[in-house]
Amino acid sequence: MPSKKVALVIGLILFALMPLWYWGIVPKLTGLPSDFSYNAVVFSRDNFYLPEKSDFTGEQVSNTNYGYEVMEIQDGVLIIKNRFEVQEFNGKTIFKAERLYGINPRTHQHVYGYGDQDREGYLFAPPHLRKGQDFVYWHVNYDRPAKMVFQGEEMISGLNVYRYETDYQADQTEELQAFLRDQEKTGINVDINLQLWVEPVTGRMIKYEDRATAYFYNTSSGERTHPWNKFQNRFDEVSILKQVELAKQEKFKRLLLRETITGLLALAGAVLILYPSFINRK
Amino acid sequence: MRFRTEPKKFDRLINKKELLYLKRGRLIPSAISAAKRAEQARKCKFLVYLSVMLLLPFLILSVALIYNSTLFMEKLGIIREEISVPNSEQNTYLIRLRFLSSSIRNSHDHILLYLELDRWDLLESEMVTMEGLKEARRGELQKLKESVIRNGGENTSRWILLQQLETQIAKMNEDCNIFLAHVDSIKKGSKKEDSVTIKLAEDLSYRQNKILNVVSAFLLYNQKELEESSALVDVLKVKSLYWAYFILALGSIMLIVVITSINHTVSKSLENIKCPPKK
Repeated sequence: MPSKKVALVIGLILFALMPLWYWGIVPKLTGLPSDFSYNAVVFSRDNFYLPEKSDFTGEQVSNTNYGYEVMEIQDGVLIIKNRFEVQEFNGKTIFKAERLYGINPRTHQHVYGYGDQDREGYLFAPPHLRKGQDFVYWHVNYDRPAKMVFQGEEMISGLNVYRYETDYQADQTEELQAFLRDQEKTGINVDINLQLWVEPVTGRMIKYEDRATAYFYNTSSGERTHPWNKFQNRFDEVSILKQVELAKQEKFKRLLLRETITGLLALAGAVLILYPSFINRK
Repeated sequence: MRFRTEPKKFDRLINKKELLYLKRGRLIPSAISAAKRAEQARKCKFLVYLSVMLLLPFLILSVALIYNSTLFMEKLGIIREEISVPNSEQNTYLIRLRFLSSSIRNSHDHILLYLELDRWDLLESEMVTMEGLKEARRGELQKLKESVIRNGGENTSRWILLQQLETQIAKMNEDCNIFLAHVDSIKKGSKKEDSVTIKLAEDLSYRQNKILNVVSAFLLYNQKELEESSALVDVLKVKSLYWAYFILALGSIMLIVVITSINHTVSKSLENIKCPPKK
């Protein structure tokens, strides 16, 4: 008889542990780790405009460094540095930006009051994305909120991903000061087409592609004078494969911790609670 | 014969001795041995069942672990075949292309010098050398193209780099032909115009730098890809290791379930054995 009582008590404890596990422990285990990093080889192409010839010089491949890494943790918020540097092969820097994001490791959301400025939206995308769900993303190059619009489902190396796209504008005057002759009167703004491929369960970015045309503009009238550069960036094929493997690992971990172990807890709890009544009936 | 067999058949059923045993209320000895044999067979079957049940988790575990490591090795093989080998192959062609391009540049400089010194004999031989170098460069470019097509083909970053290289080399060949035609015209008696010669030499130098830039970009890109592929191998290693741990954990759970179920079966069969009634 006492063993039946013990089974019932253990069963009830397991049931009580379920919400604690699901909402308390799992998000901690599946969130971004304190040593989070993300690196990829970005293949960049630039095509500069020559006002003297009124034509573009022709596409050239540039050397790009791109990545994310955790710098510190403030009140449970991860301060993540996102770097993006494009150089010509003679070593001349075309574009360089370093942003600091304050990210909630559980939700991947930007947290107000942390990082180098207040941002809305997510680092990549929110986990457990629903089909058709849009979200706001900040791309290092443009440092503006981009509303990513769901385009469809795709398969990349056996991994189901969602493709998102957006068209927007950004101002890069601050980052491109070196290219401005008259820094007070002229600025540079960009027309951007950005595409993201995101794994929906983990919210991990598998790859991105952007095509943009930057123009010089008159700061007082806002009128564009002539193009500066037509450029595009995309992930290298091996980097995509690496991200696919990492996303598969993370997805499996989430599936195991969130669904499987919670299910097992529920099953074990139910068996232990029902066990005494089953024995009595016998 | 019939007389002989019939009593035998009867004997097999029961004989006088056995009848005596039965009358005394005891079991017939042959029946006892048959029951013992049946009991032994049952025990044997039970042991076989136990062994199979115990071996099964180990068997499944081994198969799963072997499959996991095979998968890992297969992926390593793919990375080696599709990234590392083509990478080193293309690097060889690119280094040769860079060397040939530098040699062509040197050849241009020599032609300019001989033109300056009016050394037509040396100039002619240098022009032949340069044609040979250009032909060799065309060959290397073709080999590089074949390698790129074989490994990924169009719409890859390497393909874009190759196209850029082809464009730059084609443009340089055009400039080179104009330059050679100019030299040829001087040789045939036209007036030597330094400004034209210098302009053509500058164009060639500009193209030369463009080619070297694309070759450097290609080499750097290959280097980065190689580093990324080694990072990919690390990711796969960790993944394979995690799978091995996961398989071991699952195997242990399976073993515990099997042992518990065997324990339950044994306990049940022990409960079923009733003690013989006391006299």
